[in-house]
Amino acid sequence: MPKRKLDPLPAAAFQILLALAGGDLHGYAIMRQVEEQTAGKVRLGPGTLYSSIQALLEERLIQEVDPGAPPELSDAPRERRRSYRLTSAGMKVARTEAQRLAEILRVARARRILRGDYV
Amino acid sequence: MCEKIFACLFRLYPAHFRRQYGAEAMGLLRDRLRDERGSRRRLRLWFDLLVDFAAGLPQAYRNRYASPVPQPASGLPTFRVLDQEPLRPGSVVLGSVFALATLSAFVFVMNHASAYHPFARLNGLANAAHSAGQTTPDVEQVAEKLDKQIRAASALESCGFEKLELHPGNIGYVKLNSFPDPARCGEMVEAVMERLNSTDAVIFDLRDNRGGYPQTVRMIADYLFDRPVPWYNPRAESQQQSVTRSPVPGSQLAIKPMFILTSSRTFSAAEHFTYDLKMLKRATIVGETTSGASHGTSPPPEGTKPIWEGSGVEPDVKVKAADALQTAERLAHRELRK
Repeated sequence: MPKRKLDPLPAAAFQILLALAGGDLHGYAIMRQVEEQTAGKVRLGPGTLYSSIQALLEERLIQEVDPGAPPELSDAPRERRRSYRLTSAGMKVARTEAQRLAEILRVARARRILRGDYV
Repeated sequence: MCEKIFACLFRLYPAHFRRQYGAEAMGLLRDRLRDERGSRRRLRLWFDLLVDFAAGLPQAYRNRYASPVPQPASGLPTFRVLDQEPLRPGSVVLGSVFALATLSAFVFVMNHASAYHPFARLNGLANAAHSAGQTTPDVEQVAEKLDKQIRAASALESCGFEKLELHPGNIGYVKLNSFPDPARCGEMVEAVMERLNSTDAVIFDLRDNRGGYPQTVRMIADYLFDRPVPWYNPRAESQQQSVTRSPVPGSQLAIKPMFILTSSRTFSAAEHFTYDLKMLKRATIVGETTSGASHGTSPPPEGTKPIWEGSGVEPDVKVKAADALQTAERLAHRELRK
């Protein structure tokens, strides 16, 4: 079995998977979605974003989808934007990662290292 | 302006990546420039971009950019054939970095190895005097120099010169472990004596010298006088061999203080050198009484028995052989201060 590039799953890749779990998005929207779901803490730059997307594509965790007709709101002819969709394999990887983190969280809670009102 | 800088930085990414995502990345940047206005947000944007570069670049080079491996339809195993894949840009970059690092290390070693080589130290001194400004020789010169030094060092050693060093106070130090065959090493002896020419005093270390050719003994002595002097040679075959061929043209060693280090292991021709220079008051002998066993095992031919046979040569300054070098250096410094 060849070693997988996304094993362990990098934080950026996981965030992208989570962002796509809510529906198909293009690059910029993924970046905004990630920013939103991390309360502004993580803002993916173009380098990280697209190289992570490329890695996820190569591992078949996401796939490109035809964006269909571009929205007619732009003033100039804009370049075609590719949108991405989570594949079932990607969903599985995201779930596994989430479960792994949940397991860690469970241990952390049992050790009482979390203060305040974490659930 | 911002876009131009970004476009320049973006060139660092692999070509495949640029082709595939270049337009979108620029679009994303434009969108962010449009959405994020105000100096603080712009500052944060640039900070983001720089961090992104550090993080995104290695990742971008790790990707394959080839079409994904087709998944096996059934349970049949598939094989990836590596030679059908193009060389990944990441490998090329890594290879170049390694090659550059190795080359730099090699050049560094070649540049600095000479500092630890005794012959080079004396050599370097002479060179430095000639070309004080030339401090950064190019690779070729360094390679040539190193090559010469290695060859010179092994040639030196094969001629009995274990060490040839410049000690503090511009004192030349020669550790000579034999007096070599003049036919084979004559030129080497001449070269060594020429190198010593620029020093202010010379210490001949004969503590481990097992003897050798009397011709070489006299050959070295030739340099140490400014006129022909009678030279005692117990095995001289002709009158010609009983006088030094001094002065040697160009040699300035005749007026410089000489020191000879001896030990109880100093044998034969080395005792000859020591004895003669002591008698001629041309050198200060420092160390132990020499062995006095001029011929080793075989008895000397009739009538050629040297004076020091059996008794050895007494030093002028009697110290333990191990301390002889230190003592001689101290004496030389005192002499040179006069």
